Parts: sequence; structure tokens; C-alpha cells
Amino acid sequence: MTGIGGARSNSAVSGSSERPALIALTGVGKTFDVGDGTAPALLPSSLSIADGEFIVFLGPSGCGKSTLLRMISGLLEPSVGAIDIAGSPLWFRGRCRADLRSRLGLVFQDASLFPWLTVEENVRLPLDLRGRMPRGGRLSSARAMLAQVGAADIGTRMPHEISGGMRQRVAIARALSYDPDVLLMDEPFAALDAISRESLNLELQTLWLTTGKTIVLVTHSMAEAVFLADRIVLFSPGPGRIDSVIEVGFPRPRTLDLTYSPEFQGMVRDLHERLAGLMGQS
Amino acid sequence: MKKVRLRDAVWLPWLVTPCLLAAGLLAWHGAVIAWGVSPFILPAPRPVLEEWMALLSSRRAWSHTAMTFAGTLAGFLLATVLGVAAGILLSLWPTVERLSKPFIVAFQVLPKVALIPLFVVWMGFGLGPKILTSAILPFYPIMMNTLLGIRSVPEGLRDVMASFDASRFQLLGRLELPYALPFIVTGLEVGIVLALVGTVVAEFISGSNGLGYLLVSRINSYETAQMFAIVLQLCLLGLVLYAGVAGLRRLLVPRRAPSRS
Repeated sequence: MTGIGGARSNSAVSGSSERPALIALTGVGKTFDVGDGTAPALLPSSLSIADGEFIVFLGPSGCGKSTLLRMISGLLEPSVGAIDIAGSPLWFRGRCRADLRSRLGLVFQDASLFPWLTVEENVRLPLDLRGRMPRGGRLSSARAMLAQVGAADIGTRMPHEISGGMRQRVAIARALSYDPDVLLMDEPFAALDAISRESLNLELQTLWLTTGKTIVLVTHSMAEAVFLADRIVLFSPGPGRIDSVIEVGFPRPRTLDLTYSPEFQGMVRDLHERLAGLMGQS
Repeated sequence: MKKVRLRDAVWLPWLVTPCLLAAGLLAWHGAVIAWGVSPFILPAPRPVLEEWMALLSSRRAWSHTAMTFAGTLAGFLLATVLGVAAGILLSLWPTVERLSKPFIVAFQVLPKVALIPLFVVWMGFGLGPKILTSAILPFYPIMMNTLLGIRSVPEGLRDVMASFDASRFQLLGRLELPYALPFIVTGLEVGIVLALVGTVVAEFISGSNGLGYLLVSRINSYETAQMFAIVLQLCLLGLVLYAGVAGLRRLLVPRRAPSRS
């Protein structure tokens, strides 16, 4: 494991950097009721994510990475532990706090656009629902968001008329429309072809560099994880748990050339071996 | 040159349908002549068409048609409002659905036209029993389709609404109802036909006007050809009503993808 920078065991994971924690997970775990018993989806895990960090959750299916993201998203209540956003608990008496959730933008694997709304209306939807902005402002804001993700000229199209890559861009624009601090992305590019995926990875990096958002992205692609992450959180299956956290030291902005370098390839290989080892154990 | 397969040809139904119709009429005509069927049992197509033409040019017949149309439309609108509302309520409270299920099923398996005499006792021979009957028949499919549509909303889209902190009311208005709309319109398409059935049967039993009443009175005087003409008129009315609802679909569900994305 020498190829990988600073891999640390889970117990040592806490406030990793000097920057203050925007998202703090303390012993967060989830068990689901299955028939007459319970099945652990994620053993209690702790992690601290700093403001402006790019974190990637990596692991095979069934390792609890999506479960943890859903809990951070406020869609799934943890069975144990606490999630704090900017120092305040996200969950209060079984409910997700709306003021904190508005600081989180969610992007789902299958874009999840509303098929009866135009692209522009989709992006505007969260603004319409929250109603904190005058109508004209919402539209121009939606258009600006679409421009930011490189989808400026498709505002009047319907979701089924545009490509899968474009749909994901629209989904990102929709999540950004209310200017959240954090972008939580659940395998956002998993269904795309390799070329679209590459360009979306590049654009996501640019977006992150220019906006300074904190991003937590779930993936099972090792190359995607190494390319995007400041830190990779490696998950292990059966039952799901955080295995280790790996620092990725490559300088920004990262280019496609980097992905062909021996250092990059070596890191991907190390991750591959490590994941294969984890899956062998379970 | 690209070969157009016969089954894909656009003109095919335009050619074949009139031919089939003509062949059917010819067979009908031939059968009546060949077996010498009494016109009380089965009149030939020609007198039937003549009677229908007479019906189409008679003001009295049109006023009966209008009565049936009005009764059907009133009952259908009532069923639409109540059915959609009931579907929404059941979707909001699954417990209510579970508890009311036996009653809903019991009411659904009951031949509702059996209630018409009761309606007459309650409301007399006016418009009341007619509207009530034509409302009760389509109520169930409209309600169940509304419920089914709301239940079919993918969890992923519910998650999206949750991530925007949508209120229950917003969830209903911005996601559940728009998503359920094609389902509801399907319920309406089934319902409009049932509403017409309800009106006509109510007119059989309790009417003093309407095509159902006219039909019974023609049977009682053995005017079989006129009875057939009324059936044709009912078919025309049914087509108009159904086309209205189908047009509603085009209006409400205009730009949607053939398959949801």
C-alpha cells in the first residue's frame, strides 16, 4: 500500500485538515428492518468533511456508501449517530431541518428530471417551491445556472429530447439553483458513456474550482475517484463500513493527460487491489 | 426504393374499414331478404338508415339526444370531481384505504343500476336519478386510476421533492397530480363510456325524456327500425363524448415523452 498517499484506519479519521468541518459525521450508522430481524447497512462511521473539499465515496455495491450519502442528504434518518452541518444537527426529532437542507444540493444517478417540465422549468422548480425569489429573478437565475453547466441553449427543450449527459448537467444546474454550500452526488455519471463521463468529470472539476462548493460524490469507478477527489473514502462491504480514507495529492486543475501518467495509474491499481481484497474478505 | 409493408400503410384502414362496413350491410340486407325475417325482429339496413335520417332531421329527437347528453355530462363531471378527490384522499391516508377497502369492493361488485329504482323513490322521475346513476358508474375507475397514478410516482422523484423541502401540498400539486394525469385521463376515458351507460339505463327505468326513454317507447310500439336508429344515435353520442375526453388528453398531456425518462 505504499503507492497510496496517507491511508489511515477508520478510528483515526476525524478533523483531517486545518479547515473547519462543514459536515461532521459522528458514529453514523444505519440498520434496516428485514423480516423479523435487522440488517446493518452501515456500521457506525465517523468522518469530517471540510468546507470546500472534494470527497469521493468509493466502494462496491452494498457497502453503504449510498446509504451514508442519503443520510447526509436528509432523505434517510440515521439509526445511530449524529450528522452536523456547520455545527448544527441535521436531524431533529426524526425530521430533517429545512434550513440546513437548503444548504445541500442533490444530484441523483438518473437525473430525475420531471418529464412534463421544460429544462428551464426543471431548473427553476426548487426556486418556485421555496418561493424566496421574485418570478423574473427565478427565470434569469435558472438560465444563468444552465449556462454555468454548459447547457445554455436547451432551456426550452423537454428532458426526453436531450442526451443523458445533458440531463445530468441540467440536474446539476437544478441542484445549484438555490446556491447550496454542498453538492451531494449519488453516482451521477454511472449511466453515461465513457466520453461523456470524461467531459463531465472535467467540467465538474472546473465548477468546483470556480464556485468553491463542497462536493461529496459517490462512485464505484476507481479512476473517477482518483481524478476528482481530494480525499477518497473507501467503503468495505458485508456489513458496510468505512475502511479507510486516502488523500489524493495530484495538483489542480487535473487534466486528462494526468490519467495516463504512471503515478495516476499506480494509484488506481492500488485502489483496485485494495477493493478486491476487501471484497474477498466479505 | 424503400418497401412499405402493408401492415404499416397509413391508408390501409381508410380503404378497408368502408369495405368491411359495406360488406356487413350487404350481408345484413341479404340475410333479411333470404330468410324473410320479419321487420319486427330485424329490419333491413335501408329502413334503419331512413329512420336514422328522419331522427337526425327531427327537432324532438335532438332534444332527447340533448337530454341524454346533458345527463351524461353532468354525471361524468360529478364523478370526475368526486373520483379524483377520493383518489387523492386515499393516497394521502393509506390507512383509510385499508379500512375502507371492503366497502369499496362491495360497492364495486354491486350492479349499481340495481339502485336506480331506489333513486327514483328518493328523487322522483326527474333529472336526479339520471345524473346520480351516470355519476356512480364512472366514479370507481376514476378514483382507482387517480390512486394508481399517485402510487406510481417513482421514489427518485419523491426524493427530489424532499430535497427541495416541498410541502405536502406542493408534493401533491407539483409532482403527484402532474405525474398521475395520464392515469387519470385513462380513467376518464373508461368513465365517459360508463356514464353514458348509466344515463341510458336510468332513462329506461325512470325517464320521461332522453334517448333511453325514446328507445323503450319505440320497443313498446314495435317500431324496431326506429329502435335501431336510436341505437345508432347513441353510438354517435358515445363517439362525440369519447372524442371529447380523448381531446382532453391531447390538451393536458401534450408534450410528454412516449416513455418516461
